[in-house]
Amino acid sequence: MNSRPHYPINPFFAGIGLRPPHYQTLLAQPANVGFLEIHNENFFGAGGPPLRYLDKFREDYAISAHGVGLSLGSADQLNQAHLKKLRGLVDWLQPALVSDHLCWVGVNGRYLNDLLPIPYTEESLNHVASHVRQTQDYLGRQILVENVSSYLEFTDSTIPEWVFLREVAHQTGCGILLDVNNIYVNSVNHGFDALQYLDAMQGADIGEIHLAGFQDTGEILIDTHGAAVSDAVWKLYTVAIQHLGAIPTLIEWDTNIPTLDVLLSEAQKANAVLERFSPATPDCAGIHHVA
Amino acid sequence: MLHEAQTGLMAAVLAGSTTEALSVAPKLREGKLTAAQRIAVYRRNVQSALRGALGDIFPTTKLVLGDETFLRLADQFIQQEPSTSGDLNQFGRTFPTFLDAIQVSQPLPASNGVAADMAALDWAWHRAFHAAEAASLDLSRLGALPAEQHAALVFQLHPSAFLVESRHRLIDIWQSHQIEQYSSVETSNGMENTMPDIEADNNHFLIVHRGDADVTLTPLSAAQYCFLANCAEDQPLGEAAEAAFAIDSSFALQDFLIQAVHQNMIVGFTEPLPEPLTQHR
Repeated sequence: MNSRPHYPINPFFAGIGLRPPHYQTLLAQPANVGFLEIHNENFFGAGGPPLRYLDKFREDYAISAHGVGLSLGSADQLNQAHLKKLRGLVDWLQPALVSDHLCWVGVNGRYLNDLLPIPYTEESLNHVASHVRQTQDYLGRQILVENVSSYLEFTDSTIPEWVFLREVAHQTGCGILLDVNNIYVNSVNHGFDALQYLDAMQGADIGEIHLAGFQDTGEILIDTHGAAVSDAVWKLYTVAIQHLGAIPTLIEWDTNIPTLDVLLSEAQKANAVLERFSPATPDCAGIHHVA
Repeated sequence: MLHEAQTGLMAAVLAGSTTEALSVAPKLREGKLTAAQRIAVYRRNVQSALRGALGDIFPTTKLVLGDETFLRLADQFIQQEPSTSGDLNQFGRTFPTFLDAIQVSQPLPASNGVAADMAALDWAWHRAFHAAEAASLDLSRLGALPAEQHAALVFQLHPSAFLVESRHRLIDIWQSHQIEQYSSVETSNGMENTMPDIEADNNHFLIVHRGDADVTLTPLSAAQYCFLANCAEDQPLGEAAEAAFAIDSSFALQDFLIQAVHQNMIVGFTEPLPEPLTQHR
């Protein structure tokens, strides 16, 4: 599990989130996208329309299986029932990618069903690494771990988020799902340099990139997945691709879901960046600012 | 430390007041926003996620109650019966019984008490939607067995089949509120396309299941309901039929059995254990 995995997704061809409002349109006319990403928990049932639709889509598209409920950062032990359902889905679907978040969703058996940040400490690092290893061992494959948007920081944190994320990957052999929008949101919310975050990343560790839209309340940025990708995030994404090379990129849009063509035009914008800016050999020397 | 930080932050997110939240929260960096404002962002996110999940799983209940009442009760439910899974599709299993208990303490005028039963129907629909597939039963398998064995057979319902009983005409109310994209409904003959009367009257029975591709609601007579309920409890055909006949002596067992198989309500049967073989030397 330590060798760099093979990603059958064409990294030059962005994907989109697969959401029910687009099922019929996608079935009527297949879309020109690199892959489709599902929210795993919506396919945890034993059968029915969700799995029947997914069975059709997986014939035509590479699928990325993205979860929100594993709670890798929880002080609780991993939820065995949740893991079992995930394994059932992954064994059946054989997705190109499997991912969840660097966060906690519940503790003491109670769930908030939101992606909450953890204190970035050595204790947390050992704990998260253990949960990632357990998950990978149980699934028999590598997972990707995604950085989350956050609206608070613990004073007890001793490790920068980007170092923590990189360490989780290096200690466990997991990949990183780098959400460039979340980096931007956190850089504004917590006042750090987004480029410093990107500079700490290495192309070989990154299995996927997420792009989404946020809401600006005037005081804080909220990661809503309910708007187009902002100009600032497109700029940061361009720097990321220049630095990391072509990485499978996903457009996420989960609230106020637009028509499929809006989503596809966002994917086209990502494709343009991937084609124009990814170097033949990723630049390992460090970040250069976009002119 | 991690456990205390999470336990404290969860308590702060769920706290009823800022003072309470700050008294239990772990130490947070402040900056542009105060700690209380940062906790409040998560409080809104959590409330929005859980309210949204209940609204998605109980769409008809929400329409019956109206948005304002639904959200008030949803918030009460979220506090009282927390989510216990990272999968939001599991949240709300006890919402029908919660509404039932609420109706006793605070009558819901807009709903005339139909909300709890409608929530049970919405939950059944949700479970039917995600339930396992099952192949249809080939009736010739039944014909191949000696008739005297039939009474001992235990019939199995489709994994998506859920039986619902109510003092309200749930199917009519459900139909009038129907907006879901994946479903269809078979209603009783001659139903007028008007807002149904939600006054309670006699008992009404129905089955929620995926007859073919989609979830359907089918009205049942009391005897049909009783027969299927007995099957669901693994009672053999003889006893299930006897219970149905006790309710309605004219219950047409054979016709209903054929209908239930054709509509995939019944998808299989288990045969009685064979008689022990006599050893021949």
